[in-house]
Amino acid sequence: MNKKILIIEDETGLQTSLIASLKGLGLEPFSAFNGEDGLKALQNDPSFGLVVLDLILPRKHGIEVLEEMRKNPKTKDIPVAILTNIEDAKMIQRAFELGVAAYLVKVNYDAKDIAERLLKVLSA
Amino acid sequence: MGLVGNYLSKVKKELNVFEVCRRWGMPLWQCPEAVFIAIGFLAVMFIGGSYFLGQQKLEPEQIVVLASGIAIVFLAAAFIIVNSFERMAEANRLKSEFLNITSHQLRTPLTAARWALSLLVAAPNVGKENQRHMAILEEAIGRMRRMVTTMLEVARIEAGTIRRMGRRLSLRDLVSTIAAAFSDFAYTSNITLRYIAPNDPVEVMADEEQIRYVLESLLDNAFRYTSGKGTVSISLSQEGSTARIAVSDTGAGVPDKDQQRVFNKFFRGANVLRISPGGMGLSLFVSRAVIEAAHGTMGFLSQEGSGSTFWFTIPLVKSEPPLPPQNQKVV
Repeated sequence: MNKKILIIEDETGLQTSLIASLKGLGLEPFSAFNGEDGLKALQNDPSFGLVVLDLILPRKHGIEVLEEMRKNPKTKDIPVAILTNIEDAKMIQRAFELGVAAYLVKVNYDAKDIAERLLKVLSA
Repeated sequence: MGLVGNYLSKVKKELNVFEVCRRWGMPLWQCPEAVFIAIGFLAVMFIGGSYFLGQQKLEPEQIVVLASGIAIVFLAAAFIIVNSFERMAEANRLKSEFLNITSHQLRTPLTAARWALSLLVAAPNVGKENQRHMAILEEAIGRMRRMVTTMLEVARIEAGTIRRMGRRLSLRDLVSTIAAAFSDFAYTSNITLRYIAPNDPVEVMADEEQIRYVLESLLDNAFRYTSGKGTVSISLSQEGSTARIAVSDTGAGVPDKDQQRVFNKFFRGANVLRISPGGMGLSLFVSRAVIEAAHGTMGFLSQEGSGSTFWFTIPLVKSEPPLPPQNQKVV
């Protein structure tokens, strides 16, 4: 199992908690704090086993990040889990059209629950 | 007589233009109710005036001027009414937008607090004293999360964008999970919690988070308004093609005069305000909208001082018809 996870999330507090939970499960989390940096990180190293992607991000919206990932042959097959507090039906539909593996609403889970769900996605 | 009396007092209340306009927060000349009454008054005056003038001998030019004057007055009044309604609609739109943005913005710090706290709780050697403090924080964050969820649902209901996504859901499993979560609370509150459910999974097509919200709201209300040594019961049953969940309590009940307004937004009965002054009066409003979005119905039976039963129904998932013999796979 590829244990490398890229978390694209602009909230440092959420990054810190999620990283601690993922490390607790033996995974290797990496951080990007905006959409553009996330895409750059993927361009430089497309060997991630999973991308955890927020939607409301500075510089580039999560859906745009996802669209660009799918267009790029280097990143198009990397599994993506959306992690957001947006529950807009159109947004959810668009995310699944772009082939996301999971759509998780942050506020409904603890950091540990989220990490366990991400582990399931990673090992699927 | 009671019904007639109630109706008359309602009419009297609605005719109190000053009170109604104060409730809208509008000056009299912009308030639709006041302008409507003013138009009615003017209409009567004009009819009377026209009759009086009709007795006189008027030149055609004078009649044209008079009719134009009447038309201008009516047009001005209509303009004020339309303008007032537009202002009210705009204020309502802004309020919904504010509610939506605020509740979304509140979710991020709330999530950060929840996640960080869950890590602290799981940390080793926390100590009993700190565990108690963390339990308080967990409870407070949970309450705030419920309030934000409620606000978001209200914004969605008002914008007509309430979620209608659903998946196959076992009500038996959901109800038993929620009943178990409330059992500690029942024990510490000295309230007996009863749970009745069939062996079947009782499957419906619904959004789990929304049904969870409705059930938790009904149980939360039942416990809140039932004093010690009372009983709260949850029952799940199948009636024809629908699933029915009822939450009963032996608590304060809803007075007759409040029963029509129980599902109104921000409504809280006077008797429950005394028992529990906190609360937004939104959970039943949201719950009914959520159940109706799942093609269900919601209602209640109650008697002041004896308790209440709040119930809802949702259509059951139709069971798959058996495959015709030629399509059955033989393994």
